[in-house]
Amino acid sequence: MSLKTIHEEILEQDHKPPTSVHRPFEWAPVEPSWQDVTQFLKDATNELEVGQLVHPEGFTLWEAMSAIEMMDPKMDAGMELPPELTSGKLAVSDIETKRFTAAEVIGVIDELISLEMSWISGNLLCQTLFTCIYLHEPYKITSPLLQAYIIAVLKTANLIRREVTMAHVYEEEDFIPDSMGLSLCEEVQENEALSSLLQVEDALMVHWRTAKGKPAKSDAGEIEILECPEGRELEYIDALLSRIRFRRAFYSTVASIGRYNLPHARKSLAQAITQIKTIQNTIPLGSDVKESFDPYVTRKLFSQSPPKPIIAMRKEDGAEAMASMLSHFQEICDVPALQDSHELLGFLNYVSGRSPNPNVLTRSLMQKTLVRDGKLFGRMDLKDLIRDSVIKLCSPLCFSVTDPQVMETVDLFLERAVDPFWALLQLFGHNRARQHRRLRKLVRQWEALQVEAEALDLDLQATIPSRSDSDELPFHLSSWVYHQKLNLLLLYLLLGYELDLYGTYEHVMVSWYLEYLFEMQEQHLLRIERNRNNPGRREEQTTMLLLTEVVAKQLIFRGLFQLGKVLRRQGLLPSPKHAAYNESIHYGHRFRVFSNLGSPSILPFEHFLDAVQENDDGDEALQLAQADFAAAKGMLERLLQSSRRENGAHCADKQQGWIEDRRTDISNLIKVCIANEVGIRTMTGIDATERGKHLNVAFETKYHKQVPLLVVKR
Amino acid sequence: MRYIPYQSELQLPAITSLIENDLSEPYSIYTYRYFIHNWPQLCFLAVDGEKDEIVGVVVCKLDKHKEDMRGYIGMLAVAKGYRKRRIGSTLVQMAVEEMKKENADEVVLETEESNQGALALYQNLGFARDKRLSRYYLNGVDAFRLKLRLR
Repeated sequence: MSLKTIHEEILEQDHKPPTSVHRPFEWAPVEPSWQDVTQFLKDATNELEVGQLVHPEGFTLWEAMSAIEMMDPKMDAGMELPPELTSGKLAVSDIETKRFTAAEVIGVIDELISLEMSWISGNLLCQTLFTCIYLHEPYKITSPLLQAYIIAVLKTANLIRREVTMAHVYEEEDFIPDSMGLSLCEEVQENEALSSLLQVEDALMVHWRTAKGKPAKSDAGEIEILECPEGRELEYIDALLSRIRFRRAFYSTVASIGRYNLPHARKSLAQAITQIKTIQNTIPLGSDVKESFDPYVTRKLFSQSPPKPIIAMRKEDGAEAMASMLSHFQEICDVPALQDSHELLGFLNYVSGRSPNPNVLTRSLMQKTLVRDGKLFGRMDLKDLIRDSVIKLCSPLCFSVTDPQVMETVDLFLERAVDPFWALLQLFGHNRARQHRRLRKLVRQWEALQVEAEALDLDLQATIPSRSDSDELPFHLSSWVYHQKLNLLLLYLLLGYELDLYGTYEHVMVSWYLEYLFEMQEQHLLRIERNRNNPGRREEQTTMLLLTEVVAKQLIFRGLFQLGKVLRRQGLLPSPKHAAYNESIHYGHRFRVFSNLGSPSILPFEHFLDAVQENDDGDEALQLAQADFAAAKGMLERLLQSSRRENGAHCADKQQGWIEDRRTDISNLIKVCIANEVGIRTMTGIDATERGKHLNVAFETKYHKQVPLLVVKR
Repeated sequence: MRYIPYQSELQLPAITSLIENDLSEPYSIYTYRYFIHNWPQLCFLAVDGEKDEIVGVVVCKLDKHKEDMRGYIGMLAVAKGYRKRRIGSTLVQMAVEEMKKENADEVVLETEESNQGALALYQNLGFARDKRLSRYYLNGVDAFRLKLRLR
């Protein structure tokens, strides 16, 4: 249980949220006159029976959980802290006299990188960066070098806060923009902060030349030589230099992406990546700086119980998290090279599934790059992207006809498709767990679009005579919508694996449902293929590749289902044993996203029961599963080969990332097939009647996050 | 082992100390009172008959959530020496049974993704992992929302 749930529920009920926990402490302006009511309350209490409770009307869980017990030092921020928590810490008043060695400065900077990453991963500013004493009075820091660095850290925090807030893809668990009244040096201009860093860098270069025994080209100005261990000056100056350069490059990277200046961002990013590597290698040069960090320094900012100090990230982990975030930034710089909606959506899906998952800053900057002035990457009208995507998938005639009525209908469709498409792009900006939750709503949006598209298709059929050989009437626009909608439904169920939502006993029904959805997608693609109008070779090839992938996945899930079915029958995937559990009700809830859809219609629970009961010979089912995995593997291997050829033929460098991802994805699927074949062989090696006694089975997602494999242990 | 419904606030000190043992962040007394005062009938205790000691407790609520009557398991604790004896499962089953009588449509709760013991206990009772809640706890750990649909 946590305050978050309660807060969410309150928000859901459309009530105004109660006073925030993060409201800064306010002293009463006038000294009140106090009256001791202790005895009065004690007497009143005696009048109550055991179990009676005095409370106001509408005593809520929120109020109960955010109440404090006064005079309990664990909760009451007004109480003095026990001395063991405050000893050995500097106070803010010590800042102006504190002198530094190079090792201390390195230590402080590295701790700050960890705290910065901890803030970006969703913690409060006052519990992360602002546990560093120096941030509270940066102008009083005696070392110009550390001062320039810390002011730049504050400026970075301010910049990050702005970028994340504007991108609108953060949730309360991702990011807390509230600075609780702490200053982020808004009064310092960006160029001032950056030029201070440059000055420090120049001065360090002077010291460096001196230490090398070379003549100095200029003097170091006011910037001090920090005390270094004797004989190791160069090493320490290098370490300081890399940290100062890193800060400038990191700030510029975020600022440039924010200004849509990707060429500049790429340069700064390359610099930041180089410097963070040096930082990672020189962390041991930093000394112990515990006295400069006090988790209790901001305690008074909480009027209610202050949260417990968070667990500090190790310096090594902080730098690693920074390095991994920078590698994700690289992808932001590459994404505008993608022109095609299929590639774009695939890429966004790959990126948001990375381990570790891209943090809120990466996702925010990615969204910002995607959408600018209502256009994709600031240059591509979304309608054009959709038009292009429909043409690639279905080659409809209506887009090449100049009849004004047809053009109007097509335009109306594009108009209507824009919002759902934006929503789809935005989906990938959210954290993975929220994507799953948001998908249900998004599916409804696409369902509505499909209904509109079908009506428009009927209009078009009346105006344009079909030229394809097929007897079917073409529903090009709604076909495209349905294709996207099926992809969303697939993503919804597949994300359940990625987020580890399925219990062992659920694999059979989930794999059965996924097989069905992939089959729907296959049939749909075949129908599209039949209704194409004079497709080009390129389009035909694209659909063939798509079809191969869909069929391969269908076979994998069919194999998994066959396998699961046998295991279920042998009692190896036992259902919950609880009188209140009902499989049919659970099924309805697990697949509730399908319950209100016109298409594909929800599969009734009875069909599932029939499917698990048919074909009673377990060994035959295992053979079928074996064949499915083998066939899927063959298809995936062909896909991998064709992607290698494609790479040789025509491919811009910047698309490399997407192609690489796709290839890894296919290779991982191949590994899943092989592992499942091995699992089946282990099973068939044991006599059917003995299996229940000797086998221990589990489904794992170790090779592919969204496609499980069976692990059989004797 | 005896299983009894909650009787009076005299049992509260034993209940809080049992639950606090398992918690990183203590609840205030008001949180306990909120649940137990409003839904005393949804609180069940396990008592070691020999020592006459409370060794397990479940604390719940039941109210309207959107269209549904939603039961919520707020706290569940079993003393260290008494685990792996299905005491937790029994307490949860008693609470669910009572909620069913009071027309609950579903029962939910949250648990840390790393709490294997709790996840197994609830999975065996048919609670499904309905949602992942990213960074749900103050320590930054993800949680699962577990749900058992009753109708």
